[in-house]
Amino acid sequence: MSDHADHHPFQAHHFDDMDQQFDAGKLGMWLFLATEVLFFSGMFVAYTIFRVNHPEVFVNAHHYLDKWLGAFNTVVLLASSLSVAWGVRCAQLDNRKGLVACLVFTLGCAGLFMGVKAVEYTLKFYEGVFWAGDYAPPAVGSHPDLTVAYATVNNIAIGTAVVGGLLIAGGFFSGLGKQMRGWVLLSLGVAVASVALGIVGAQGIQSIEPHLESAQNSLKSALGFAVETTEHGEHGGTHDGEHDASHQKASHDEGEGHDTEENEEGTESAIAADNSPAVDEDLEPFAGQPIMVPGADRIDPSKIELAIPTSNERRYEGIFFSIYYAMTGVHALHILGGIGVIVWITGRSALGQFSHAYFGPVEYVGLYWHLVDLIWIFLFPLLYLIH
Amino acid sequence: MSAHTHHITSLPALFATFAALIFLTFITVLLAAFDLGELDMVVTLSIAVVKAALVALVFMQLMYDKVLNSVILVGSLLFVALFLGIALMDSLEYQPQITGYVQDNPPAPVTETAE
Repeated sequence: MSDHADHHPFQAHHFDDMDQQFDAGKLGMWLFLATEVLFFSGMFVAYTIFRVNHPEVFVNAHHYLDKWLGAFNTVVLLASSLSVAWGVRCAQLDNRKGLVACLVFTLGCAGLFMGVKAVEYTLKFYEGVFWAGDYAPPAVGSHPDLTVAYATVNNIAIGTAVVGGLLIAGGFFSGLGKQMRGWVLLSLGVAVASVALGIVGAQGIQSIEPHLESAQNSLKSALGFAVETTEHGEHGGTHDGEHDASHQKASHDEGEGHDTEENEEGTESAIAADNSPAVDEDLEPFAGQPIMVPGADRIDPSKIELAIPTSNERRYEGIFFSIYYAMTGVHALHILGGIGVIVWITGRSALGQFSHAYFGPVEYVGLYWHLVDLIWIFLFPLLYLIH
Repeated sequence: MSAHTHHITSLPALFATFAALIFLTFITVLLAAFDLGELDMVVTLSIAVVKAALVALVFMQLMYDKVLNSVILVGSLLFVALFLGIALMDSLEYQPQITGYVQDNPPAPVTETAE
C-alpha cells in the first residue's frame, strides 16, 4: 500500500497511508476527550452531591453570579466553536486564507471569554466572595465600593491591550508568510488584545443590565407572570432580600420537626438557635461584624480576621464558591491551553501545511475546542441559571 | 482517496446549528427568570443536553464519523453516570447519620482569632 513515490510529507513512516494516520489520530483524540470528560466529572459529582444535600445554598449563592455575563460568554464560545468547525471545512477545501481567518477569529473569542472571566473574578475578589475558608461576602444590605475593583480590571485591560498590540506589531514586523513566528506572534496578540475587549464588553453588558432585566420583566408581565420586586445583579447587594426570605421560612420551620429534606435549612437554624438562644434572627443585621463575647475586650481587634458565620449557611455558601472556582477555573485553564494549541495550528496553517490530504491536526484541535465548549454548555446553566 | 472518505460539513448546516444553539441559549436564559418549580432543573438540563448533542453531532462531526468515536464518548458518559449514581446513593445513605451528628455536635458560634 505504501508508495514512496507519492508519499505525503506529513505522513509518519509507521502508517500505511494518510487515512490510517488520520483515523488513528482522531481515535487518540477521542480517547483523550474521554479522559477529559471523566476528569471534569469529578467536579460535576461534587457539585451534584453538594446541591442535593444543601439545595438552599445554591439558591442564595448563585445570586452573586451575573447570568448576563455568563450568557455572553456562552454566545462567545458557541461562535468560536462555529468558526473552528468552519476552519476544518476550509482546510478540507484547501482554503488557506479562510482557515487562518477562522482560527484567528477563534482566538479572538477565547480572549473575549477570558476578559469577561477576569471581570467576574476580580469583582468577586474585591467583594470578598472567595472560596470556603476565605468566604467573607459583603455584609447584608451593604453596597461595597467597587471603584478599586473596576480600576483593577481597567488596568488589566490596558495592560492586555498594550501587550496584545505589541505582539501583533511584532507579528507584522517578523514578516507574515515566510516563517511561522510572525503568525504565531500575530495570533497570540489577537488573543491577548481580545482580553481587553472582553473586559470593556463585560462592563458594557453590566451597564445595560437594568434594561435587560426590565425587558425580561415586561415580557414576564406580558405573559401574565408575577414580577419579582427584587432583581439580582452581580454586585447590587440586592441578594439580601432572598436571604431574609429564606431565613424567615427557616424560622417558620423551626417548630415542625426535621423529617423532610426541604426543611434542612430550618433544621440547621433550629440547631443554631438552640445553641445560642433567640439571637439567630437578630444577628442577621450584624452578619460580617465581630460578635462581642466575654473577654472580647482583651482581644486585639486587628487580630480578628474572619467574619463570623451566623449559621452553617455562610459556610456552605463558601463551599459553593469553592466548587464554582474549581469548575470555572479549570475550565478557564482549558481555554488557555486551547489558545496555545490554536496559536500553533494558526502558524502551521499560514505556512500552508494543511490541505484536503492532511488536515488532521486542525480537526483534532477543533475537537478539543468543541469539548471545552461542551463543558461550558453545562457549567453555564448549572452555576448561573438554576434557582 | 481521502477526500472521498471525509465528510465536509456544508455552511448552511454549520450556521443552522449555530443559530439553533444561540436560540436555545436565549430560551434557557429567559426561562431562568420564570419559576418553574420542580421542572426548572429538568427543563434547563434538557436544553443543555440538546445543545451538547448538536455540538457533538454536527460540529464534532460524530453524525458522519466512525461509530467507534461515538462509542468512546458515550462510554465515558456511562462511566460518569455510574460515578454520579453511586456517589449519590452513598451520600443519601449516610445523610441521616450526618444530620444526627450535626444535631449532636452543633458548630460552636465562636470567632476565629489569630492567637
